[in-house]
Amino acid sequence: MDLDKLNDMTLAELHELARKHRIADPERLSREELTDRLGAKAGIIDRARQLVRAAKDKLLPRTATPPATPEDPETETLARLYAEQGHLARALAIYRKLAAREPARGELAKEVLRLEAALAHPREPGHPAAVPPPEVHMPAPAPTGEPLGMLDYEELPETYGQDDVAVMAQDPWHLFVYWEVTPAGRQAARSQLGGEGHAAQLTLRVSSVATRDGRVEQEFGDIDVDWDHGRRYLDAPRPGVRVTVAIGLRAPSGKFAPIAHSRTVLVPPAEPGPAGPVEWMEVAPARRRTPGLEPIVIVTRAGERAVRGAPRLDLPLGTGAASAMRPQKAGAAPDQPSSWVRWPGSSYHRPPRSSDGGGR
Amino acid sequence: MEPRGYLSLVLHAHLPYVRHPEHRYFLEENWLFEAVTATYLPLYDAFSRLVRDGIRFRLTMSMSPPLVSMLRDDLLKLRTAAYLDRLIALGDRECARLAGDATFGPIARFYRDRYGRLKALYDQLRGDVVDGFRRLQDDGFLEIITVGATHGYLPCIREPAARRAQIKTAVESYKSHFGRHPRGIWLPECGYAEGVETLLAEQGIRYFFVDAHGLLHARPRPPYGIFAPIFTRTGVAAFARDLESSKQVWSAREGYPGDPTYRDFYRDVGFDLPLSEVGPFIHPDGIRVHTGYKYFRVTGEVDLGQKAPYDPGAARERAAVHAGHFLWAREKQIEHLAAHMDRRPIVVSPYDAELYGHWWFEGPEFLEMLIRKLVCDQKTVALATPSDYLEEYTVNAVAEPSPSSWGDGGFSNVWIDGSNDWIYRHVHQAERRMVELSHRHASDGDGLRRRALNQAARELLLAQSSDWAFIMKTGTAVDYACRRVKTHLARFRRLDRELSEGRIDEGWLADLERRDNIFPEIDFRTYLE
Repeated sequence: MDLDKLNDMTLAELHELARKHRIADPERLSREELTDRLGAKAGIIDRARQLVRAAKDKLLPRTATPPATPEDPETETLARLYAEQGHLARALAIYRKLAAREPARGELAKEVLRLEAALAHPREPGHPAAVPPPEVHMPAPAPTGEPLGMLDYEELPETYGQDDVAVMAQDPWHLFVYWEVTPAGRQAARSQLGGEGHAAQLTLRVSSVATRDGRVEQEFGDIDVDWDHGRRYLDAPRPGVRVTVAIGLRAPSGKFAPIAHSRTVLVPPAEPGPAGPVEWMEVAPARRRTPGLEPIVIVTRAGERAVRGAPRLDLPLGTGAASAMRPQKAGAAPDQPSSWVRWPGSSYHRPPRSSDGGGR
Repeated sequence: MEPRGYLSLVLHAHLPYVRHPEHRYFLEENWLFEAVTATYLPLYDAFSRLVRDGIRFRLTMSMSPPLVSMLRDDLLKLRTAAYLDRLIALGDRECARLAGDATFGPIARFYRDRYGRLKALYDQLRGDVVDGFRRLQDDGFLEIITVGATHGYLPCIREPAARRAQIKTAVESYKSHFGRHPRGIWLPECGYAEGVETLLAEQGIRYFFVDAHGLLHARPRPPYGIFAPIFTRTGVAAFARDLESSKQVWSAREGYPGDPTYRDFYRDVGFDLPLSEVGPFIHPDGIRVHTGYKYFRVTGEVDLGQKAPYDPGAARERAAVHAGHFLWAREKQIEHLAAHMDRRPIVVSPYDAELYGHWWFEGPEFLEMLIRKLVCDQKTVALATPSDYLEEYTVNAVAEPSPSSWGDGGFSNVWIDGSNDWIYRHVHQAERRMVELSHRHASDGDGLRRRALNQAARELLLAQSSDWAFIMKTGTAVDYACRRVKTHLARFRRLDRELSEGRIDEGWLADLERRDNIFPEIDFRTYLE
């Protein structure tokens, strides 16, 4: 029995063969798993090697001589992942190879023994033999096997090689900023500053614009930073203003050479807006049972008119209660119970542990 | 007699896209199976009973594209059916185990019968829960609205084209599933950012919701407060969440679900029984999970070990009392508001749909009884959807809503936090690259490249889901959430590299299309500015 023969067999033939080899419940196994287990019974471990090699070939550039790579897929990590996913034969194949390579490491040999035992007795180790066979349908099997998905996982890059800064409003009082400055960006800013360039300091410049009593007010503040890339929280200039952040070099004289600018964001207001003037708009209602897109038609737009409105709210987030929303300092007792806004919240507030990314 | 005001109940149904065909059992897929069993089927069941009894009701339900896609996915439907079968099998065992127990035996039978009925309902729907809700919409009972494509939190999406893609993709997905154009949208996390209304108007969406301070802090102050919508300058209406009615249901201290009579969520045989009893019904590796067999009631502020046995009959009676109380409070609220307003007020009460049934076991019964009482027992309050209200009141004040969300604190503190802020630099970079790629290949006729670009758009959308940041903040399944963000971004980055190098690995791409198969009709040109 070799791998090609197994691959050529129909599913019914595989079931029959599996029963002969005393593999429990073969109908519940996918073709892939059947092949693995039958292969393991027959001592065919080459399939695992072939699969790993195929995966490796797929992911690496196809050069005549594959370059040496520090990330050899036949690693303990991959073996552990395979074992966690239930691809025991593949895990076993890798562990055997590793154990042969490093015979002094007893834990590798132990893994080989454990996996061999598991393949010989496929019942889950957590379920005592006293438990009667499950009368339940297990989830539908995977249409095809794994292994490529796990290899998509990679750590994100530290930098992107682009001058960049972004600002986001966390709440009316705080901003979140991240930035990146390249050597070329820094050099260009230094050049702009001329003779002062060598003594310039990397700085986040927060500019805000607000309209107050009909007048436009602009102000800015500088925050020195030490790293070419990073993220941090800043105090917002004021609730309700529009904010832009620039990352750049500031010379001792105060001259500022920007390297990158953020988009403008509106910091949320923390209190009710002015009472008026209020404009009114008439919009044609949507026709019932119109299946297609129906553009919004603004019929009229007109100025203020007398209305009798709703009474003042006396509620936590209501009129004039902005202080109730302000985040509390650590250790301070909150004015309002914070739990009511989203309690018990979405279904992710669940006590059981996560599978920590591995389904099995 | 004409009503004096309206109550607009809004159920927001959403789960992140969790589908792992590569695993036979995946713990996080249980989120869907539990929600189907505890919430969506019981809600559908309750609505169907109302229809059968001739109760005319109007209710708004947002169904997020990831949820709709999962509910209609063949693999997940099979797994949901298997999950229900396992619940019934566990029920048979529990009934046998507790046959002579006068206290717990009847509760076990109650669950087994319930899950049997739900499985029959699921089979009757042929596993297509979405189609059941669609028919309720077509018959005029529900107004189903859409949600951002993958529940991306719009205030944290940097590129305008990427915000537009979240909305446009959601609209297209809605049309393919419900056969019509969506009237309204639930902004993910109720998160409003300046300018969103322009994107909604482009897509013909007529209304959205904000939290109360989204209108209370609007510029200028809306004359009717939160009890009538405003029009944004684009003509799209914004309705605000009512605080009082929200608090009655949501509040940890004062809300109904905390009543001692109601079923306790945390005590479950999945944790209480020895492995020899529940082994086949929990994670195959022996990790204990909730099974849905919960024999105790909330009881009060006592330890889990001191909880008293659950009494389904008493809980049902309590739900009826609470429905009556909720209605009474709305009548009083609307009488009070109507006395001060020159139009009928609308009280908007949005809730996570999963609250009803999943967390608050008796929630669907509460809702059914509330609707029955509201329609049959009084005339002060009528049910209305936002569309109904906009038909009656075509003239509204114009204002700019205030940036806000319904998260803790009311702004972006949940989604911009030390636990999750690392994601934005990377997701924003992917947004920018996606816009660049879509411009570069806008008129590209190559089929393989188009598939790669469409898949890149799917990976970006999946990475943008607000759920990942939320989970990182709440600390429940953090590793999984981090892996999801990194995996989708890694896949995006590789597609980007392969597109740039002109060397697309078709086998790998096909594998990705099989795994991350949301939005089969997506067009990457959605990202054109």
